[in-house]
Amino acid sequence: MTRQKILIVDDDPNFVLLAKSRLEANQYEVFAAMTSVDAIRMATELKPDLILLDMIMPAMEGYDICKKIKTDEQTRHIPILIVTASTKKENQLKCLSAGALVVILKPFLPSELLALIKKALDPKSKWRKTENMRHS
Amino acid sequence: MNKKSNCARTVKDVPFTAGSNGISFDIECVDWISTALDQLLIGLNAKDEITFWNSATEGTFGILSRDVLGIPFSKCGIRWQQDIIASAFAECREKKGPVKINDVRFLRPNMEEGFLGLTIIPVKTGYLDVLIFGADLTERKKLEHLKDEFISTVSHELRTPLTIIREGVSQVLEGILGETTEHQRKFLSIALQAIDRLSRIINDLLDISKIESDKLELKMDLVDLTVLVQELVASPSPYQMKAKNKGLMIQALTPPHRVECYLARDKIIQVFTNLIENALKFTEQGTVEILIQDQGDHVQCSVADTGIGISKEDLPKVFHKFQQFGRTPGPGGKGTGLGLAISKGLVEMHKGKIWIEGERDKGAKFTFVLPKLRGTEILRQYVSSGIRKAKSHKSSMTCIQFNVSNFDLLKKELSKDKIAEFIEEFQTCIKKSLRNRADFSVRFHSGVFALLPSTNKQDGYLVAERIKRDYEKLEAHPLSIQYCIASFPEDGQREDELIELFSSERKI
Repeated sequence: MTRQKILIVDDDPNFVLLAKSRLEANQYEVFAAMTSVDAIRMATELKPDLILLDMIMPAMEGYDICKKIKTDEQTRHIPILIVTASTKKENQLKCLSAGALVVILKPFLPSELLALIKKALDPKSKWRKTENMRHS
Repeated sequence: MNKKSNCARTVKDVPFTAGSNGISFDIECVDWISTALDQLLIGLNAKDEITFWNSATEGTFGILSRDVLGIPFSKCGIRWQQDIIASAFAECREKKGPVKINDVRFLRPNMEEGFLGLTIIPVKTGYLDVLIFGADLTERKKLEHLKDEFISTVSHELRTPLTIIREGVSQVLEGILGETTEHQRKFLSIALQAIDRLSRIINDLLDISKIESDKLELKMDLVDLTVLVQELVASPSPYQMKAKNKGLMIQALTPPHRVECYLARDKIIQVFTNLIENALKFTEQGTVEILIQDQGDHVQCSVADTGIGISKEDLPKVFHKFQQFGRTPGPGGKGTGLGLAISKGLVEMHKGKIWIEGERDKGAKFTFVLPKLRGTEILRQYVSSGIRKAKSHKSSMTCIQFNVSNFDLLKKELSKDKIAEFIEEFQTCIKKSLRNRADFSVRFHSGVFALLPSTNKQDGYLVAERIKRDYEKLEAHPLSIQYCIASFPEDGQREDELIELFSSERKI
């Protein structure tokens, strides 16, 4: 069975290492981008099934990366979950307005992250239906 | 005072005389006091001409009183948000009462930006029609901003390594990286519990900081406390599990009808969570009871336990931060030390009160009361806050009031609780239809109010029509829905102007 692809966008190599380990143990195929340029390039080339995006990235903020991905015809369909240690509500709302599905605050329970990923990947979930309505 | 020209003099122009009765207490004394004030003080006559301009005002704006006395206020040359000031003046004259405005941006003589808090007071004296008191809030705002930034940065910098530690420990514990011995798993479990406790402390510190600096925004809605508490306690809730493991009984005692109150649902759940967890922690045998009582104009909620209680000396300290006293919890029961301080803060933000009764070894009872706020008050708060945010983002805002047009007919045939249930279902339908994450809705006794930030009136109509259509498509839709729309800035600049546009036929 083909494994679903997840792209992790985070400039912290330790987080990427651990998140990759967790997701691969749960049968996902995982790719990582540690810069905004790589994030946008890999989103376009790989067309992952889901993106985990850090809100604070060097050079380009998570919000801008999210907006870029969501406005590009080739990548706008990819669900984005924001994973962040920042509690600034304004920034979180900005990302949600740009098309992210949910903001997950670090540190999180692994079971919570996995449940949210599963929900985001389920085409029948309310999230995906609302997402489709936003694009129509 | 030179009454003919209607211009006030500053204290420099008035010869100081002291008679046998002391200083004559008239305008000269007011001059003297106003000069000593750090606060701005501006006086206007009925023609809005400046009759008073104290030295603090001179210093703040770099405009001397001799250059502005007698000229119209609008032409005095202050570089500030003229539209907000004009709006506040209009409100003051209409209300015939004081109006406060905060965070009025202005430019100093050196072009630096500052912030003022102003109070505009209508007075009717011989030559004064309006008094404006002002305080320069710039330094306070800078400090607040620095504090917010500090807390946000510290929170971020603590959370990031904590995530790495947690994920690393938990993956080893779960065997993802290979097998572990029982001994290793025991130690890793202890480490994980400590990490989770640290995480809760960080969250609680952030909460208490927001509460203390008045930065926590409450998303108020009409909530049935009976259902809220029953859901918290009913099986298979974690509290039932904890109680069962300790051989305790936990139960909710609620009236048979709805007990509805405007409150921030997630925050009151947080309060109940703190109180119930405390009760379970400090009780080894007996019961934990959650009681809801409808007292007419307020609701009283209690969490009572038969646990180790609390001594009379420690009672006053219970809601203080990080207080440790005689109550020693059972194994694995260490809290953050902030739960009760946060609960108190959250209850008081709802204009409520919380207190504790109890004695050593005779259990403890935490009680809090929440006033039943009026729907019109909630509506006004939301519209006012929505306009404020729209102004600061230079965007628009639309409010939609959905009314149940067959409300009177339904009242004759159905109970109040049944109607409330139908309106709740309608609100669920609205929530499903709203596509922008910043949109939200509030239920009232006879309808639902939706607030759509960054939405103009035309788009507001599209949303309202879509919601009505989606509801009417449902197999069962017992309510007949009509709606009214008011938008900022199209329909007005102030909340009074927008609220007036809503239908007055149905009381909220």
